[in-house]
Amino acid sequence: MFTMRFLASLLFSTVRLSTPLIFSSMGGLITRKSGSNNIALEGTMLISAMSGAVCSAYSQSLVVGLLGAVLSGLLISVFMGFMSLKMQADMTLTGISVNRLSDGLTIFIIFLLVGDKGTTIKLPSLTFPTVSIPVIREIPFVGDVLSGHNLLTYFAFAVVLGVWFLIYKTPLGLKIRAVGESEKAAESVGINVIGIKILAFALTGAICSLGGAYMSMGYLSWFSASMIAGRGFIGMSAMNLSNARPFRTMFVAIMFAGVDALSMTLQTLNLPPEPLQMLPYLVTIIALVVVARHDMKQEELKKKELAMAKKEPA
Amino acid sequence: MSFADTMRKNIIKYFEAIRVAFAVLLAIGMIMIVIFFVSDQPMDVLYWLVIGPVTTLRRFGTIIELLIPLAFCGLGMCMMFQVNRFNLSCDGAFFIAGSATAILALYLDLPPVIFPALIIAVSALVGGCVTVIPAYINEKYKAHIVVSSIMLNYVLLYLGRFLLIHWLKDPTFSYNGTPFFPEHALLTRIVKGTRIHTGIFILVLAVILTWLLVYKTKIGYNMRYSGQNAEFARYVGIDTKKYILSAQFIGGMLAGMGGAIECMGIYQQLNWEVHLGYGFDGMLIAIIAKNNPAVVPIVAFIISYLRAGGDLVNRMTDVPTEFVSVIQSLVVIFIAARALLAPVRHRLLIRDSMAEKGAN
Repeated sequence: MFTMRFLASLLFSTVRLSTPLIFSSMGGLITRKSGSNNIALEGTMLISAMSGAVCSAYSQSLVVGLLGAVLSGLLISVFMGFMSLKMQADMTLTGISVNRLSDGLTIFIIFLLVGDKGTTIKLPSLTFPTVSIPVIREIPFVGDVLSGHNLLTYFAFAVVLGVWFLIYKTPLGLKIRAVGESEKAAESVGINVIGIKILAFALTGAICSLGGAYMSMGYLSWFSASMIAGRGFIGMSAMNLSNARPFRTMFVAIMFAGVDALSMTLQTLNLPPEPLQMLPYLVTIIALVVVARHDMKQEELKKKELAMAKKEPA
Repeated sequence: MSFADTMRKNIIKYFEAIRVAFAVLLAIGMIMIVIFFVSDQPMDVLYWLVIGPVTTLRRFGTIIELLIPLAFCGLGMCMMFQVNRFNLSCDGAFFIAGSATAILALYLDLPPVIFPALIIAVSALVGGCVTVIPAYINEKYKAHIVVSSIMLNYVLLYLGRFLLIHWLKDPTFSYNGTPFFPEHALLTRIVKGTRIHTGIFILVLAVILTWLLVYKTKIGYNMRYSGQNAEFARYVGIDTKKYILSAQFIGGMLAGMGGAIECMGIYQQLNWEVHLGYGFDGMLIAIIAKNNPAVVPIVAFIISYLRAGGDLVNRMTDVPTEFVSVIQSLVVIFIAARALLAPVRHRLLIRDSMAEKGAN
């Protein structure tokens, strides 16, 4: 019975921890589809985590908190898009700088507001409610895993569906994909390429900011300076590893969350925490290598097959 | 030629420098406006930022002390950028070199001079080896180098912390720190009243050697070609992968050297529990210096001045030092923005050629 309980709590944490990864990977997916490489997901999440916690604390309203988070994430993302696309700054460099900017800016702001550089624990921030799903919560094991999560966690899974619908089933999604596949071709049919790309940045910012809001208004009830801890990058890796396909991305994100959950759960045992804390990052690097190797082998196979096919008629 | 014409010609000639200066002033100006709104003592902020670092010898000393690690990271990033790779593992290399330094300094015993020299050499190798990991998987498997190098920084952070907390730390201290290193494993302090140490001579040597390597040797030439125009380099028979990897290895070595020197010169023990965060400053320095190692110390001085000023502002006023990171990131973005001031340059060029036509 202990193992079942342990497994249930591990899977519960997995679902919980997959929330920020799903939001960041879905955000990154949209810019990737539009042909941009947005590596500022981390910074976007950090900024919105901060503004969500601060706005909800000062207004005592969840809606204002959420709006603050989404708006700030959207603004910083559009700023990055504008600087890299309109002002022609190198996108990688801009992304790295936006991440650093968020590190500094969030600490700057919370210090001015609460006089602490680490956390906003002194602020009475609000959190999103947890939801207990009527029928499912009655099912023994499944209910323990799937029910009782934060509202934003369930919303994350809805966002996966939404992003899939947006990208593959709407005219806007078609435009985004067209711009991403061939700018010239898109331009020739009258699509405003830079406009669409900046719009993609805006969407990315809005979606990532939900991940940030979850961290400070759900996962915890305050903002802490190091709370994103690479989750933007891990989400981005999940998206890159699954070649920007929404549902695959979601599964990879859940797998990464599983590693994170394992690391967190084992830390409650009497083990040295550092090697366990290292785990999510190490697994990300290993996954990058393994998948890239696999892709390369597949490509070689394809090439061989092509060569064979060419030979056959002769 | 009239005065206005000469003026215009000079502006066009030094346009890059003017653009950089404009970017810096724009970033500082933007943050200053914010500070004027949020701070009760904005004039004090300005005073401590601009004048503060040169008010006493001790404060001036902090500029030079900080310049040393910043310049090493700047040199490291120059090497990464020479081969056009965004390898951000300087932070990790710097950090883990500190662990290597502590292990050697505490468990080895050698005569003076040789001891620190050996420690620096080994730490540099450690730095190089870790930096080459993301570089290698980028070349071999095309894994995103920014992501893998940042993930690696986290891995190294926890590795270094593990070594410190479970092995190296002196349990009698109230914080996580190793015992202080023996006297002959330290870099001597050379200016009384400051912590400026002999590491500055090693820095001078490193700057000269890196500059020679990049601009005066065949290896450096091949590195630059491999990074800037890989196809052409391969066409003329350069083994691009080898040069791209070795440039990043050297970059990591420089960052590692910086970590060892900082640890032995300033801290004299290891008590790092988080990244010192000099990697981003290194990147900023390399960008402003246009990847030229010879210019790195000058730029490092400016950045160090800004950082020292920021620390004083933090201590003397109600504004936290993090506004300096905001300025720095904006500076990078504004310098990188090629379209910034481009219309001005365009107009100047047109007017210049019109004037020349008129003169003829």
